[in-house]
Amino acid sequence: MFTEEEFEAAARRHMDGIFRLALNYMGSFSEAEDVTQNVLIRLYKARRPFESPEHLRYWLVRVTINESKRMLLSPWRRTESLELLEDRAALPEENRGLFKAVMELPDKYRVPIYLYYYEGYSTEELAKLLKIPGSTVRTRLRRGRERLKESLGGAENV
Amino acid sequence: MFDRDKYVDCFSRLRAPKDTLEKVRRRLGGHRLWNISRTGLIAAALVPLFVLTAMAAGLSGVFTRTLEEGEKLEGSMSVSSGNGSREEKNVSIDGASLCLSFDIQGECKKVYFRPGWLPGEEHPSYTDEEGYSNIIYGTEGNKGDILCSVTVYTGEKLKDMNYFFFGETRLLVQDEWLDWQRLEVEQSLTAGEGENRKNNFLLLFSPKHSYLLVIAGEEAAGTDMEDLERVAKELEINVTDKPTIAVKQKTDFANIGLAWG
Repeated sequence: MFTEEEFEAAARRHMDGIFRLALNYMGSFSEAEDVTQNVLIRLYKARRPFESPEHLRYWLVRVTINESKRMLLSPWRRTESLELLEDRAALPEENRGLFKAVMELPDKYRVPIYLYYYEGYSTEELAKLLKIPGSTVRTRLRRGRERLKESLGGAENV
Repeated sequence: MFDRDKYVDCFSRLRAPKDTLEKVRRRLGGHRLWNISRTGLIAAALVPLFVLTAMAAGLSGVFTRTLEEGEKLEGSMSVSSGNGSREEKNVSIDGASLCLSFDIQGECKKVYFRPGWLPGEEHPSYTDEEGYSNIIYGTEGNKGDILCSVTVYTGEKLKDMNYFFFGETRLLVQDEWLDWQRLEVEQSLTAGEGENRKNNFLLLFSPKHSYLLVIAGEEAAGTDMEDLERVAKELEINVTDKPTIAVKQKTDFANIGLAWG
């Protein structure tokens, strides 16, 4: 069980990561914000010990995935156009093309790419996290990369 | 070839909104505790004790979201099919500006109120022993401008429901006030023939008893926010022991407005 200070420290350390993963699932800043809040509330109420920082991080990723999937199934959704997403991301010019291309990908490609390339999970760990076979993870990573290359016009170093 | 560095650089720039943690505190019903601990008025050693108390009490919370311009609300709604039956339809709502949702904890009880003071020189007499769940009155024999409307929403009506305001809205105040979480909302609507109508709303959510009071009046009737606050201060609230009946909401969202029913 967290103390108040431990909760705040953990929330501040992990909320950007939770938000990014949720954004990859939801494709909406508003909904990613909702998911982030829900996950932090679950963390606050979690009456369980975490064995290590890695255990906590893994638990948060798992809860974020579950919370995102739950919200995706909800009939209540808040849609955001790609233009609005780009505005809200407020990225520098050099990042915008890649961000747009990534957000145009279906979430089944976007999420493994995020967890693999940003969070650094292995394909075996991703298979456990996403509850899909390792071969499917590798296929989705490959297809996601191919789609990114196509949408960016085969630009070098996509 | 996939350039991991470019990808990481791009996504590392995306951050959760700065007020995320504050919103979490508010939803946990600990907004007051948060303010107190932040200002250093309470010893750090006591904070966990207060948090435990708040959690044990199962306090509820209200959550606000201001919609982006052009953002649509999408969900399902139960509508009449014309032959007396109703069906679920997907609906997209344009023009909403402020959205409220609630984290409801614990059992929901029936709640009534009885007004002690109301705006306007003349108003109906509300003397029912048990109290009321809704009142509304106005000028010109209740056909003109609305002087005051008071409605209580029990926790059952707030669960899994998203309430929204149409038109231009300004969230003027969001704080703790008396025993409530208070929201003051100014709404501007364009009615027929371009006529602009302004409504004032005072929303009071009880984290302890999980009900929402919506007190509202039209500016054209002369009702301002101070009037609404006075109505609230002099309300007699009757939180009964009667549990409300749990019902599955037929819609995902509902409008908060001010109109003759």
